Amino acid sequence: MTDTVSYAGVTATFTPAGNLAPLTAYTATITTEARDLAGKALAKNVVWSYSTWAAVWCEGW
Amino acid sequence: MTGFGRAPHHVKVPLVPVDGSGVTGFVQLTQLPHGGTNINVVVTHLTPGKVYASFYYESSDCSAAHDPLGAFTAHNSGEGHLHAKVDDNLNQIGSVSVRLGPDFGTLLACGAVGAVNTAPIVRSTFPVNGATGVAIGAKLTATFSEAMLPRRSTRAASL
Repeated sequence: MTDTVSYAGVTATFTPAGNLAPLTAYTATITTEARDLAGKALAKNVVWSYSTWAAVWCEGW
Repeated sequence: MTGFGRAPHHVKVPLVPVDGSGVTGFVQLTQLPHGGTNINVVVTHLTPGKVYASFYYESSDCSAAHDPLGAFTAHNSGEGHLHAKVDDNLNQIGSVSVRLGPDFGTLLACGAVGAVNTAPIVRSTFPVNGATGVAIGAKLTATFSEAMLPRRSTRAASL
């Protein structure tokens, strides 16, 4: 399995090959290799961070 | 005359149908080294034998004041071609249209040239920056200011 990127209109969706690790901090980057239909690149990398939640919900508490 | 700055010297933009006209094609613009712009308009899905015309605008949506590029007659194949040279520089042209004759009042297609003079930006992302509690199976999305070239590799978006 490999990571994939798909496009619909002006939205790009990045689908990781598998689940992310729980309770882990991640940084996502869209580099200046991303270009519009005229071949124009982003002016700079876009970077954002987030963290995941626990993988398993404990039920019955 | 506006300086060329970092503006591109050659651009190609699609002609987008207006109000379901079905008229498509593309516009190629080339900045001339001593001022002015060469413009090539290639249009498809026209009615053979009918007369059309192209105009160019400062606006990026084929609205408001416009200047003529010229008229052309659609070939039997439904294609039409127009070549023109204008005194304006490429970075002064916002859009190019195709209109239906004989009065050229009906806008059939518009090519947004102005968008090529500004770099695309990312308007929003999911998850947002600083988000916590993101599902481990979540997909990432980024919404751009304009359509982007599809990529087969993931080099432009990585974790």
